[in-house]
Amino acid sequence: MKLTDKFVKHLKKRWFYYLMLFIPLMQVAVFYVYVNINSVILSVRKYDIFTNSFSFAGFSNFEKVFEDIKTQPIVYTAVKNALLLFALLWLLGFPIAVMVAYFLSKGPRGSNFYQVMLYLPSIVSTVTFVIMYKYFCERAYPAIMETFFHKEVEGLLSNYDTTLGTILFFNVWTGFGPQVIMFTGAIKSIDPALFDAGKIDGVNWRSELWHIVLPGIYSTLVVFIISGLAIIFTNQMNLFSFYSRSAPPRLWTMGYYFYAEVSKAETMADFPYLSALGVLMTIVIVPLTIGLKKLLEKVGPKET
Amino acid sequence: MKKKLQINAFNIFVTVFIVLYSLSILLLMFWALLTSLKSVDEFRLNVLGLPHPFTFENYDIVFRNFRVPINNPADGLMYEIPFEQQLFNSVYYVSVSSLLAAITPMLVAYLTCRFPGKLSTVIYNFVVVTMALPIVGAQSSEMQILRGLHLYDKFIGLFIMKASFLGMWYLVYYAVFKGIPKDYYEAAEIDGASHFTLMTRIAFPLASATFFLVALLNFISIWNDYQVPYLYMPTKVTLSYGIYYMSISGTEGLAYPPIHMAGTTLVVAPILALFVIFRKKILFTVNIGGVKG
Repeated sequence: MKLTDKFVKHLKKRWFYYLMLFIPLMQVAVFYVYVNINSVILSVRKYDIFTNSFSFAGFSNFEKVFEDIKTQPIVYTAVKNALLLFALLWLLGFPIAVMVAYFLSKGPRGSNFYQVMLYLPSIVSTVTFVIMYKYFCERAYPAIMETFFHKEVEGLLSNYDTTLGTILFFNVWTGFGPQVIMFTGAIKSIDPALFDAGKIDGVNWRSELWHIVLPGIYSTLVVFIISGLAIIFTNQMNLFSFYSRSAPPRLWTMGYYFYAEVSKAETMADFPYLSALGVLMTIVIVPLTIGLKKLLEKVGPKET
Repeated sequence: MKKKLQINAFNIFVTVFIVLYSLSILLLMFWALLTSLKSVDEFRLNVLGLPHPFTFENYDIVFRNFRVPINNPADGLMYEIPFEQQLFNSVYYVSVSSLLAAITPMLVAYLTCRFPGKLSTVIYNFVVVTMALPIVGAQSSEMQILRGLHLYDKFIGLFIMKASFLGMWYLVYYAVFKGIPKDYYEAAEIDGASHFTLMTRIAFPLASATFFLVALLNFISIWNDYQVPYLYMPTKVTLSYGIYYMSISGTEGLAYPPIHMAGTTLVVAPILALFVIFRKKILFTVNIGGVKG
């Protein structure tokens, strides 16, 4: 059979498949593939606001990024804060989330209520939660200290020493619930026979958590840690909701910096520089993400 | 079945922790609600106590004065977007976007599951890879493309952007379609059903529960998001952006905590109502989302 006949026969059989896929594939081709290719192209171009056009700029945008990393403390601070948030979510949030999920998976009294409370910060919009939290820290906290402890204190966000901690706490506090719900789901899907066998052997909660629960939900944990690392440079730490474009530079993260810069751009003049910074960050984070994934898969606990 | 747990250090620690956590969430929301029911003058003197008297005037102020000024690039003039327009923009943008963001992955998942082959394998793997591949700072590029396609600052631009099949929902739908027995399709084919009939009369109805939940979760997240519309559709102000604007601007007559709290309560109320009605289904879906190896 000729190649063209084969092709025609294949098309006749699958015309519906290709027809229906055409628009979704075009969407992804433009708004994912081309967006990212264009990001790389933009990073080696410059924009002329007088002629309203782009021209080739070589690696000058990347040189400027490297220069800024060396001379501007803001880029360094933004990376440091992003790492700090990731460490807090990972080192503090994860172990607590696993313990709470383990507890809830046993179906204690009130577990439905606790699950609703844990999921509430994800249901309510972040900006409304930020507004409530901001006023609570700035107005209710000083009032509480004055009423109950007879101390006059500044608001937690106004106080220079507590601002960063207060914002970090907000992120851990509101991001913690969905992790617990997901881990609870993962624990519930562990074979109950493993828990029964453990009970017969007289294992205590520590052994059960370490030898049954952790190996059982390890793949879920890895997904969370990896996705946490993958968004490290896009996480805004909710700074835009707290401060709009006027967050103090010492609080910035890379995600906040990108969003604030793009949202204020009136021309496309800043886009090449931002794209170069984005491409560089992607180059840094992709191997880190893949490396961490491989490491976690290698060192993970084995089911016993 | 609810169990009575044995008393040990672990259970005591976690119980105390989770009770405090739940209290902190409830306390914040309750305080915000009470604040919205105090007059501006009363709040200055009474930050923590119950309102005396309870008043709904802040809600009335929000309804009457909740306007967001915008600079329309088309004619260079300033306009004010009133509350009703923001509500309409939100409902229109969120309804269409959440439906498109639920239908597209369902369609592609069905096609790639029903028609196995090289292209379907490539699509499946592409979705998995993009989920783990972090792309940083692509907003500039997106903005340039939207402007180039004359889709910037238009509802249709964001609708197209939201109609993507990339992400977790594609995999969820794929698992659903994989679980449908082939006999169903074969029986319909014998009766002369077309590809379109098989998809719309057999596959999609069987995935309708998943579709409903995906659409609902999309609705909640898109309703709450103010940053995407603000960036790509700045003159089509949504309620979430309106609340954000109110919180950061010192608009005369609105820049008081009780009024801000009334505004937040108005935005939160419909979403909380949806959550209360569908909480069992939502939590069940999220529970089964635990990834197992």
